[in-house]
Amino acid sequence: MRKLIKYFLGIATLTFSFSFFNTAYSLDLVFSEDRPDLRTLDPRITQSRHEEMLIVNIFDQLIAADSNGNHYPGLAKKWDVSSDGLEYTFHLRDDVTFHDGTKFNAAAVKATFDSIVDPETGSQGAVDILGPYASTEVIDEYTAKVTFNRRYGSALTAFTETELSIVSPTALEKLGNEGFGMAPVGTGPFKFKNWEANKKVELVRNDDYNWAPEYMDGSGPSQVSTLTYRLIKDTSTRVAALEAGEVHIAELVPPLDMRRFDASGDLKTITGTVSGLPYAAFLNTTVGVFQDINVRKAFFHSLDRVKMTNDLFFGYAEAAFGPISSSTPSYWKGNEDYYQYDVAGAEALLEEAGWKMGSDGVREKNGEKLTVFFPCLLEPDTCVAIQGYANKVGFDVNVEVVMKARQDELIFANGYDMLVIRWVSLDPGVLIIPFHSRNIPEPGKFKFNWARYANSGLDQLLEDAESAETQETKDDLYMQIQKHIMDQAIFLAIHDQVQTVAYSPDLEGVRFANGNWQLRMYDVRNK
Amino acid sequence: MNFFIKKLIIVIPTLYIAWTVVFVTLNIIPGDPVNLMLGGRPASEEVRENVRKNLGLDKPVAERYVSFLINATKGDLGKSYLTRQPVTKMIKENMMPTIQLSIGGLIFGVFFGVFFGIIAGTKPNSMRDTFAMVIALCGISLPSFWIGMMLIFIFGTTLGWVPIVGEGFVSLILPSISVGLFFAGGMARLTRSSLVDVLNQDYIRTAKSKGLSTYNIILKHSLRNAMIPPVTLLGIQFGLLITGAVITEEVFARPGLGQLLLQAILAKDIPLVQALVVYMTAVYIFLNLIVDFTYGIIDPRIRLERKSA
Amino acid sequence: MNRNKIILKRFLLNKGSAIGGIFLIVIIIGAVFAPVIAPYNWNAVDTGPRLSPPSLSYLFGTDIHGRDVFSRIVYGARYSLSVGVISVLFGIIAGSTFGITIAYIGGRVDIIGSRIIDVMFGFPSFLLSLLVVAIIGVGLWNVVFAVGLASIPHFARIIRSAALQVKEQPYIEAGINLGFGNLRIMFGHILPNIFPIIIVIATMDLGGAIISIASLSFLGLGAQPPEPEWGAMLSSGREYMRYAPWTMIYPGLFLFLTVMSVNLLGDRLSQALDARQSINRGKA
Repeated sequence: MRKLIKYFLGIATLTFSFSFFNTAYSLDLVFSEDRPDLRTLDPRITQSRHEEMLIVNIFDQLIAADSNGNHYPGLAKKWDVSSDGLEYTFHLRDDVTFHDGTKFNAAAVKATFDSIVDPETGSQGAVDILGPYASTEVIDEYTAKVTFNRRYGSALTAFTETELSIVSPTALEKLGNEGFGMAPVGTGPFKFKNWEANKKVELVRNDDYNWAPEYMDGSGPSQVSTLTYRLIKDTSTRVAALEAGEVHIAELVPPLDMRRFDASGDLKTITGTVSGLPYAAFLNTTVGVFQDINVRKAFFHSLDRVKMTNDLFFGYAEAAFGPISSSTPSYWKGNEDYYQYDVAGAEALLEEAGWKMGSDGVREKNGEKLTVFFPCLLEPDTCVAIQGYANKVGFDVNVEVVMKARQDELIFANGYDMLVIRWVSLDPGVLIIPFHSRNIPEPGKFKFNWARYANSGLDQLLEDAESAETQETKDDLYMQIQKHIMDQAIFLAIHDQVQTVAYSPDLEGVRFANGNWQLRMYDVRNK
Repeated sequence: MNFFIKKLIIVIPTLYIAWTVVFVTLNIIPGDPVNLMLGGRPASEEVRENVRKNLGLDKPVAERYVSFLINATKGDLGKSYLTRQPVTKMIKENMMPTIQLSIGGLIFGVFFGVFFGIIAGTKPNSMRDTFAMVIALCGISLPSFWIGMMLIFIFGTTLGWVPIVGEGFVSLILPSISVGLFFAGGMARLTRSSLVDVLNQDYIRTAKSKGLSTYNIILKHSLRNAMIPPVTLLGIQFGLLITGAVITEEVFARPGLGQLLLQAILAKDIPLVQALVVYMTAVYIFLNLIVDFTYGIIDPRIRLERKSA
Repeated sequence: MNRNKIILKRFLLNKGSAIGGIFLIVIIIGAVFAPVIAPYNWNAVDTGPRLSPPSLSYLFGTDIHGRDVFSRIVYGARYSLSVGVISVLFGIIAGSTFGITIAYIGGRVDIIGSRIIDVMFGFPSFLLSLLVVAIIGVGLWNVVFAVGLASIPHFARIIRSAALQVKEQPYIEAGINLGFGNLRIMFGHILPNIFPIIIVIATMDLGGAIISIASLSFLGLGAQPPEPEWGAMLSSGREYMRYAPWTMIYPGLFLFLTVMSVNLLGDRLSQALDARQSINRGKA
């Protein structure tokens, strides 16, 4: 009876979204987190996984990859790599059109990649993923040759990344960079329809779609006719909406709710362990107490990551140990030997470094206190847990829960002692983004080397690894890179990123995109 | 007429001075607006110069101030840093849920407030007076975010009577209670005290001695006069309703201007914050003006003053 | 003085103020003697099993970090009460100074001052606080300042009219004729006479200040983790509302009860003041 009332109320009260009893293939997706501040749907510019949640359904890539990272033909039917590893020739499909009706061809590929490296575009993610890109040549209408300046080992994986999706040059011309970000045009299974800021984004089925990668079920237009992403910031509201049947799929479902659904079976769940950078902390090496490497090491030793992760995630996430997560290629097991939970060791390091325990439980040295300013953008509870552990050995960690705008401000002003980050990536090449010295942020230049660590040796290793010729060399170089990072105590992994998704038991075909964060909705259907 | 014109004349400078305060305060916020507009995206000097020009930052402060005032009057206050949409469009899109919420809170507040006020005021110092006044006291002491969450917990999560998300009439009930409770409490207390005052007046005692029923007395003779002070309360309470929206929309995860304002502040989206404050201030001042006018119409003392002037 | 004693007695014996007063004293004792009363360290992670329901060992249960909710509430009294008082003090001192000054000087200064107050009234006070926080940044003390600032027009207006009334009194004129300095008259003669009113409106406003500060903390703009301020506790308790409602119920309950007590006291005080004034009038 109650369920009936709920359904009735659901229909009666839903004015924007499509209700459960509407066309069977109308899906409501809840997309959210505590940041409904989507800014752009342009794959060339974004570096936000939230924006990519939608982008992944609007665009296609040259090479398709499933959630296990296997490569398949995408917009390119096949490709050849020159023996020196500098030239990638793509033989493109000739039957693909953009949502605006224009044809997909080699010129579109060239326009996309050239615009990514153009500073005018302001790319935050794609430009790094393209690596040592030199140029694209249009050999003929459906053949494009991409040339790199140096050997780029991660090239093939790069072409599967969402950020290197192919965009419609016609639309770019017409709308400009800004306009395109608000009304994107791609070749994907869903077309952009409407965006109500802070409320929802609506996509509709691309009826001309006929080029789904082979790992999908089916190849024609999707069975889902409309896709609505509702931005619900608050977790309990998200979950409540899902349970009430007001939405069909919810991401970032809290672990306790996942546990409850798994126990009762009322809703189906999938958990994705993400590859890339785990949830980890940068320590700022240029200001404050973390300039001393022993203080950094002490900080790391004071954290019991295994217990912290279990306590906060109830088994749905695992502790992480290295700069890249264990599911990322070239992960070095040696990471796990560093910085075990060791309170006595941490205290000894601090004592040796001259930090003596004060009467208020905070260590001091030369009249200065061992304070750490920790702006926390992600997972406030984890930040509080970190704060709790560090404070036990004599740190005074000040947490400020911030939104992105405030964190950006602090990054530009170098006004922080530590920050947390996480990053979805399919390739260890992602390490160049937070650790190369050219990526140290400055006013006007937003980059991700938040430890502000500059070391020419590490820079060289990162660059060499990018152009590694064999898998062995690549693995060896990335091992050295990871060792260097761990030795310097500038970046400590806390836990694996997990994407916890729960959805209506009537649906099947819900799958992760490569990287295990975004969801591909193409072949979702009712049972 | 003199009365109304006088009020109007005072209001306009108040509005513009308030807007000046908004301009000054928001333009001294540290943080390069260009960076904020770009959202931290890397950009060449040329692009930054263009953005600066678009934001009008290359003009002297005085000029910006004047165009700000003009634009505020016209209702065009630029584009949001976050969404790059015109802020007036964003305000329009988010206006309706907040208006619904405010009306809901108003209705709840007026009905329950006046109801309890009458219960208490017609029999002062009785059990029911104490009872009603305790309830009113609870109303003004309850933090709206707590009562909101308690209502969600009891009626939503535990009992499942009310949908938690949704945008229809039913979903307005709990938030309206949450927003209107403080108002109801204040209304109840004020209605009671002014009713007590009026009922003690000589002309009421005369009516009683003439044998008119209590009902007759209350409705016909006293209520109208007793409602005068509570009407003045409306003005202040409008402010509460508008800003109560910020908290209630957050607690109930409803869209609206309050939630938009909070997000804008956290995202340092200055144009949007500016526009919202300008708009809310204008609405607040305007509503208070209406209340003052109403007061001028129903308060016989002022009415007579007007006639003689 | 006998008159005042009667009023005071009536005030203290009244049921309402008795209840309010007792509860408030309990809270104040809790705040002051927190280290003794709280069974555990409010900041100690893993004091007990996480998210455990209220029990004999953990009177109000534990939160997601395993901290004892009861201890956090006891210490939270320190935050919620003191910041309310400080905020009101700030508003009262600034408001009184402004109100008395413009009332005393009168003339154009008074007109301009009143206009300034009117303009500040053009902003709903919560909105003003939000705006101030938007400018100066988040944090508990920033919020205290913002709420105090927003309360100034309210105090200034009332104190101004009270001061205007007192100004008419003959002893003020006498003081002027005797050549007393302005400051001496304002703060030596006017102020003491309107002191009772100041106390009453301060108390009546205290409840509102406590709620405003808690509201801003609830929105994430005030107290930062791990401060056990009741509004912030409510915000973090919200996440686990379904599984550990005690983390949400108790902080809010104490906020409610504290504010209610303060309001009760304020009510009784203002009634006592009215009684005093009517006795005064009766005599005159």
